[in-house]
Amino acid sequence: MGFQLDQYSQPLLKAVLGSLREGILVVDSQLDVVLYNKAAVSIFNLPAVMTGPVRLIDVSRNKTIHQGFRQVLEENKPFDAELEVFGKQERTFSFRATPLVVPPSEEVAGAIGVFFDVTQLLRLERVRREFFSNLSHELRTPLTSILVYVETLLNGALYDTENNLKFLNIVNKHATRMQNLVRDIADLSAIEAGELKLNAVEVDLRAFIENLGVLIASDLEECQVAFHQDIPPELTVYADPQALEQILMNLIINAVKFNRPGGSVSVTAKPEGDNRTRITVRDTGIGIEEEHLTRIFERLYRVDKSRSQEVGGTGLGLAIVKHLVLSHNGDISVQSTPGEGSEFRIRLPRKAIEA
Amino acid sequence: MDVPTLETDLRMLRDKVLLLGGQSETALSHAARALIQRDSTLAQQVISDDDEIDSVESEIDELCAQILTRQRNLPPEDLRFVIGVLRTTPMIERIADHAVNIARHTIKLNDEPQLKPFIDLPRMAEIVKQMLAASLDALTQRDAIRAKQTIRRDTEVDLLYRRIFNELMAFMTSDLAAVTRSAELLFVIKHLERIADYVTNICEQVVYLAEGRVIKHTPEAWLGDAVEP
Ligand SMILES: Nc1ncnc2c1ncn2[C@@H]1O[C@H](COP(=O)(O)OP(=O)(O)O)[C@@H](O)[C@H]1O
Ligand SMILES: [Mg+2]
Repeated sequence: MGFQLDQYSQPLLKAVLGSLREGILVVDSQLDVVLYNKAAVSIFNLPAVMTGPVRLIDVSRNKTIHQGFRQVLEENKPFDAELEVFGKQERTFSFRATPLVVPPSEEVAGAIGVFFDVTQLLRLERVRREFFSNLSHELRTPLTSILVYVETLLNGALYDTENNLKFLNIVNKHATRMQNLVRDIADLSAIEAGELKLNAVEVDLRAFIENLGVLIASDLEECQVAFHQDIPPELTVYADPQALEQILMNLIINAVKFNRPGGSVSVTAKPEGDNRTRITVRDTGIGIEEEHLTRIFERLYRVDKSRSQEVGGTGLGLAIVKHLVLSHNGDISVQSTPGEGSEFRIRLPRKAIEA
Repeated sequence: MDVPTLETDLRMLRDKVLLLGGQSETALSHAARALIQRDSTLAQQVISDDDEIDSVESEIDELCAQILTRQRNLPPEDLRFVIGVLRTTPMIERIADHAVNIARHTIKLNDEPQLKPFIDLPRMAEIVKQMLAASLDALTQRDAIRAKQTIRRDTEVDLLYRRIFNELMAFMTSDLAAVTRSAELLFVIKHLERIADYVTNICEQVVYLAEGRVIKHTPEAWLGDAVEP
């Protein structure tokens, strides 16, 4: 290109470009790439160190990029588009190309392309959209049933001694489902808004889980699932007891409900380095296919909607668990073999850190 | 306007071929994603995008003809390049056609419940995608070594093809309700397998461009056979 940077500007320009998160490609009027930054190297087919101009087609075969640059050069005005880049993973970029005019000349000497990764943004946007459309669906379905049965009762079925109790039970079931949903939403939004006050104390894990075992006795019987626990004595976690109960109950109830008759659930724990306790909830249930594994922590995401509803789930349980674990500075992971079972593993602080 | 020189013509030709390659890459990636994520809208897009691919192909033909008629004494190296382009372009275009066919089958498949979660199929599609990208990279850089490596991956595709084929046959014979869906999927894997064959042919052309020799000379390898409807 017909201009030169002075000794001072050159390294400065390099440093500025290098610090940008957006990928930058500068092409001349012949569509040769004459300048690019480090971020561009991670997006495109480019040598890490520039040795000379590279033909744009060798940088990317993406049609939109070529169209964009060509249009900018021909029409001397900016170009905007969204584009997909297929590499190891498919990513989406917002691409903006603008004409490059280097004074004193008034001619378009080239074009600058800026590539901003919007993959994550789009994903979040999709999750959000799905959440709201699912939510209204989730609320509408039980509400419709309630209205239908109440109307039938009002229209005379109230005195139909064969059916009135059955109808009221159905109304009750749906109302309970709505109540669960509203409760979970309230919990979740409180956690997400950071409104939750956590009062962490050192909890004796063994006694704590023994207690939970009592609470789930009826679920175990209903699903014909055995419950085992193996917690070393005196092992502690440093957590808010109410939150800990919510975390473990959600995991254990899932392990019981997504199980099969004759199956089992086991809770084990052991101390880890770095002042952590690892708790594992393992089941011999239906397991989770690989493609769903990363998504089950999303709000309202369920692998099998009808099965989840049958067992009174709202699809918010794991989202709550994840947030609670994270707000304790813990982490959660899952492994599963479809048809064999799943294993949820959380790590939480073990003891209060002395000041 | 400048008089087009041989150099600019050749450069434009190369740009166009690789852009066409990029478009068939997109077609294949979209078709595979549409299939795996059961996205009929995306499948429809693959089908409508194909018209443009066809028009780029004829632009390339025209440009080749121009170069060949205008330049009486084309240096052997450049002549080889133009011939290479004339041979690879139809292959690239065919790849896009096969992607379109996959998209068509996908739309039919999506009208019915999923047969089963796929494991080998996404893997096969992924390998074919990688092979196509590698072949175009090799073409860009006239990289015979890369081309030969890519040719070797064809056996992976054949292996997966066999495996999925047998599995689908088992489905068809054991469950009457699964016959149509299995048959659609049989077409899909056949198309993927054909794409891998074309990729292999492109790689052979790359070797020819780079080393000036033909590693496999069967008429079928250049012309390809007909695409199933
Ligand atoms: N232990 C498990 N085994 C199999 N699937 C599970 C297990 N835990 C969770 N899941 C899957 O993850 C989904 C989301 O779980 P969760 O957020 O607790 O919602 P819910 O239990 O209300 O359906 C469940 O619907 C189920 O498909
Ligand atoms: Mg749950």
